[in-house]
Amino acid sequence: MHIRELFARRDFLTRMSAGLGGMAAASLLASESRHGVEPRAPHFEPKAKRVIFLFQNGGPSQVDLFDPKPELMKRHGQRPGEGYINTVDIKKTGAWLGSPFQFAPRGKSGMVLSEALPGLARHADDIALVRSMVTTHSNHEQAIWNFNTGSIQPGRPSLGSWVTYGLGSENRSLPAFVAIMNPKGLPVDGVRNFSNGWMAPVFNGFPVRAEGTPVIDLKPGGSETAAAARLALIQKLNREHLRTRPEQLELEARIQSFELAARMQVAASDAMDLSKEPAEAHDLYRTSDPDAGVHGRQLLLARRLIERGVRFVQVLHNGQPWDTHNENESGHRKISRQTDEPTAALLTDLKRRGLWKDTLVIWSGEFGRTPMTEGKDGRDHHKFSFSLWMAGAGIKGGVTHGATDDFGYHSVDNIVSVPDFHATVMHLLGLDVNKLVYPHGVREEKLTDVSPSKLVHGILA
Amino acid sequence: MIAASGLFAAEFERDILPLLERRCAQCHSGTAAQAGFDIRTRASLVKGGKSGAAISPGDPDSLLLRRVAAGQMPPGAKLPAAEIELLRDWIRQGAAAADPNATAADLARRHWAFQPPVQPEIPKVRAAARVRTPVDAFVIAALEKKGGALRPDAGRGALLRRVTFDLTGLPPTPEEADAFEADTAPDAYDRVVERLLASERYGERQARHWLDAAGYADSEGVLAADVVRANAWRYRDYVIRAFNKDKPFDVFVREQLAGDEFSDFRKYEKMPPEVVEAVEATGFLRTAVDATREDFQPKDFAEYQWRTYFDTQQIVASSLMGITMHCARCHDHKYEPLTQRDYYSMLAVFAGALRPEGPVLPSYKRLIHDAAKSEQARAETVNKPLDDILKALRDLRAARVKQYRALHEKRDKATEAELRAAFPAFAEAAAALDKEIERETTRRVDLPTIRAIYDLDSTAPPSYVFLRGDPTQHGDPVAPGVPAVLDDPARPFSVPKPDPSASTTGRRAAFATWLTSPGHPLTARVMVNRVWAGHFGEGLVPTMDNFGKSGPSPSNRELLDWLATGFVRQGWSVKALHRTIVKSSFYRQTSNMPRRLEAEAVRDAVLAASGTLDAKMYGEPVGTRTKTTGEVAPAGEDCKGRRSIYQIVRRSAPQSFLASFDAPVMEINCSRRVTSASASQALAMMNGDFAAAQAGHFANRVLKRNGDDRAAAVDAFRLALTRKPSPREIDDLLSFVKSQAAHYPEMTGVALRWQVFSDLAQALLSANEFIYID
Repeated sequence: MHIRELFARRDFLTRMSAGLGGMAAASLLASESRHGVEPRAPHFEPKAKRVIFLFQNGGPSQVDLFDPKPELMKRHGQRPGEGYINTVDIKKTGAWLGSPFQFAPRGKSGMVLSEALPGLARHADDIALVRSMVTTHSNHEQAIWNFNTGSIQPGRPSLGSWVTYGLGSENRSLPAFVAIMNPKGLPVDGVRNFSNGWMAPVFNGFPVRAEGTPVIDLKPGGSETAAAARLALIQKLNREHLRTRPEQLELEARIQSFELAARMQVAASDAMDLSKEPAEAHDLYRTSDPDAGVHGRQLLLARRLIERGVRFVQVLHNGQPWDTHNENESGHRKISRQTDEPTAALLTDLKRRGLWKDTLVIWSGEFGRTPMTEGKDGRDHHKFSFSLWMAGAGIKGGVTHGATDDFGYHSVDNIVSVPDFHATVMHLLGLDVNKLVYPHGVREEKLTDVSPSKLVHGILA
Repeated sequence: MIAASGLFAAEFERDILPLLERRCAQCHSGTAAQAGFDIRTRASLVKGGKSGAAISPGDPDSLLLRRVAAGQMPPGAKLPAAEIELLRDWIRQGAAAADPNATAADLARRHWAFQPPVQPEIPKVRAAARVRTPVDAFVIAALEKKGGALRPDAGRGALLRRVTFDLTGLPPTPEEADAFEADTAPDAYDRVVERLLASERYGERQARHWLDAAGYADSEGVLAADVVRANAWRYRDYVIRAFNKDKPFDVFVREQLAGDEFSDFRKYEKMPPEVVEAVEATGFLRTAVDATREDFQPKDFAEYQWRTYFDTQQIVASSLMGITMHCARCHDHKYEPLTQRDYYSMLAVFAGALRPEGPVLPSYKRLIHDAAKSEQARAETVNKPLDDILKALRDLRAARVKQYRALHEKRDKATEAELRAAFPAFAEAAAALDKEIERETTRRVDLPTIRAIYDLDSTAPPSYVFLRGDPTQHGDPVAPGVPAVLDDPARPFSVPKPDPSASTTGRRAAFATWLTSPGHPLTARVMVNRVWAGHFGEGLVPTMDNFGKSGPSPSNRELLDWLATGFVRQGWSVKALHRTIVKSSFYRQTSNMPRRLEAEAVRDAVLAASGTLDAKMYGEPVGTRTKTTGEVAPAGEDCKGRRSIYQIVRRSAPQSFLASFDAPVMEINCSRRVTSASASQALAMMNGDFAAAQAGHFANRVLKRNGDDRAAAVDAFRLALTRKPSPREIDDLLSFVKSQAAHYPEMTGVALRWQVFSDLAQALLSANEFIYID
């Protein structure tokens, strides 16, 4: 008889994971548990405990925001040479398009940043800028899947799911993984941006909004005391039901889920209530600014959630604002105006509140944009180079890591792949990306799938 | 090392043969083996080659061991010490093998699920009195071996609730419960089963299970647009009808894989109903995510379309064959005897219809007209000039917009509303053109269409193995085929050469015929396992999509094989299979593990209890709306609601209520639902619009048909939970009714009573007992 058949699945998992160290065993078993968000120890001493992931849908332009290219300016208007093509559509390969944005050294570190980001410029010494990112696909969806889930195939769990699977939740009254939506609508690719894929549903990102109704069905429509009495009746019925079916964990879990929901009504209502913030905080985040207000409220909410022990907060734009196929310059000015000062405010706020030491902030899109024009004044999707930055726990501030060629077309120096980025994020959280496995079908899945990965040591404090 | 630990003996089939195949087969395998030494069987190892016997059982100094230990073999690639130890252990312990003449391929074929099921003897059991159907004999025999026995029969109410939900996905009514309670005839339960199997609700319920396996969705599933498939629902309706009329499962499979080929639909002037049905069935092969668009570059087209093709094969392999074929796309399967060549041979079966490299139409145009050819011709004659006119009108309109934008201060940024406001002449012209466009549009003839699959002609483009799964890296050419391990060497799979004048390749028809041959090792087993899981929450093989060597063994192989062979013997009747299962004592015993209803059944049960279930069947799906809160809900569900199977399944915008109860997003397909107990379910039931609205209807229903509070409360309890409340529960309900009024000081009279009973109803709908069946 095959050895595997001798054991029930749970025992099998224990045995399988014995070779992977105790942590992995705990994680594997937790995945079997239906309510597996209890806190779990990381593989090793972590630098960061929580993550705020500012996802920049659409693909921000590296050469206009982070990566100055004098040679590109010089060749502005010239046809690019052999090999510099538009990978979305070769026929759309346009002339070199020098950036209309001025760049200057910022902070003590002298990190060179664009005039589009004056707020971030004030934090140049706090962030680590990676100029040498590459990804594997030039379409939004595949590149988003790659960046969020580690593969260009859809249907895999997102980064936030992996982190909450690895570490569980520190807060019993709020979801472990929260996605803060733009009230104007879903990002491109919708709920897949924070999906649990084939992981247990408990690892799904919980969508909330920074305006109007923050959480669907959070509050009863009518009288709150009547709702409380209703809940009491539900639980009375449930306990009576359980009494004749003792030791049914699933029934017990559902009873607990009603208790959690009740706690959430209070805790989430409190966490989501931005009116509890002083005027000074609202000013800092510019929550009433006509341009920056929406993002300011999203980021203020992100900070409130992180403060309450939410493990992973993903902040999303509606649609894909960075996707400037036309009017690249005005598009980038506009979205920068909407996001830059709130982002700076978040960094300022995390520092002064002592959250800096265990919160990791990630800012990135799914890819970059072509250094050539698309059409008259746009830039197309670009997979060979893009920039991202990270800040906070475990990150060395003021570092500029990696470089692109003279045009910002190819990453050439200290190239960082998406799996490298994932491995580094997990490392900061005390997790080994190769050890955190989730059993799925006949495979044991990893965030980085079958891709090799290496840590980006240059940005680690 | 397992073997070295002494706890387990090294096994030839499990440990040694794979090692030798991996390390030595490149040179020492088959008839052309170097030095005449063939490592493929124990016998050939003992025989050895030019240098004499390679192994001598019991002798750790065998030639093979000396060679590998010295690093002479394999040349330049010394085996790891652990592997040498494994070989040494096996030889020292006597070099045993179950079959000295079996090769790894022979052994792979011997995996239980790759062998045709043989009808087992029905075992004799001591507790013969409990045997209602042969299912019981098998189950009790297994239990008695371990000293166990069946639990007693469940009470009538619990049993009725269980079987009604299982077969129809809805709760029994209190009237049905009373009738069953009062029916003392010995065949009372059998008649209930027959009533349920005859109900049209049965097909809706069973179709939901099947649509999970088929990966059904109403949208294409990629790009921001996630375009809605206008006519996918005809496949959904086909599936419901098939279950309701108990279409033999082999026919069901053949139609889904090749209904177009078997029916030769092109030969009809107007397809008769049975041909329409066969064509609708092929929607099964059109469920996968599909991104083809008219404006795609040929290279994009290929890239996206190959994915659709791969997913389609995964759906076929996982739902019908229970094999993890997709793991062999980039390399030979790591745990199964499935090669990359097998993968691409099977993929070639579909090459006549799915042509990533063209010619192929965008997804939404790959349709078959459900209308007489003469009508189609007429439609074309009518539409062609109309389409020219419409194009001209639209161009003209666009030109007007451009013309007036040039005059507007905002130039290209001016919206049409702003143009209308600024230029009355524009407003007038645009309105006139819109009217014209609408009039011409209504004159077009739109014929009903079916989202189907069909070959273009009798040929198919050549198929290849793709190196590392990359469609641009062609390896060996392959012919259409089936996985070698499943092919019967006595009657190997082949596709009859099509007549050059034929309209189809016949490949899928040949595959479907092979798959539904009565002795096929997998088809019947996989389906009976699926039906079994629908009744017990878990299959006899827990991994519904993996019957391979890497999957768990069946918990009761004899029972599985008896069911599978019986299924085929009874003409592949799914209803007969349900009867066998639900009439068994095993099914009828008291529960020890409550099962939660699936998302769709939860919602349907809420509608049924509240008296708002709209029984309308079939047709276009009910659309959704996104509320200002962000909740995605069916349009117009505040009043009556249709069953969840008729709600649109949009991959990018899952319905919030169903999603919170773990309805899957169909990335490919869903072999097994998961059950979570998340706070969002609790919030949806406690505070959601749907729950509150339905509770209101529920309250109306019980207040209308009952006089006093006590009768109304008892009725509500029974409508929700089927059973009668205990005296203590009645007290709880009545004290709730009494105290709840205090929370609504502003209300009085009828309104207050309705509000209180709404609250009571909402609590009942939220209770565990409502969504768990015993």
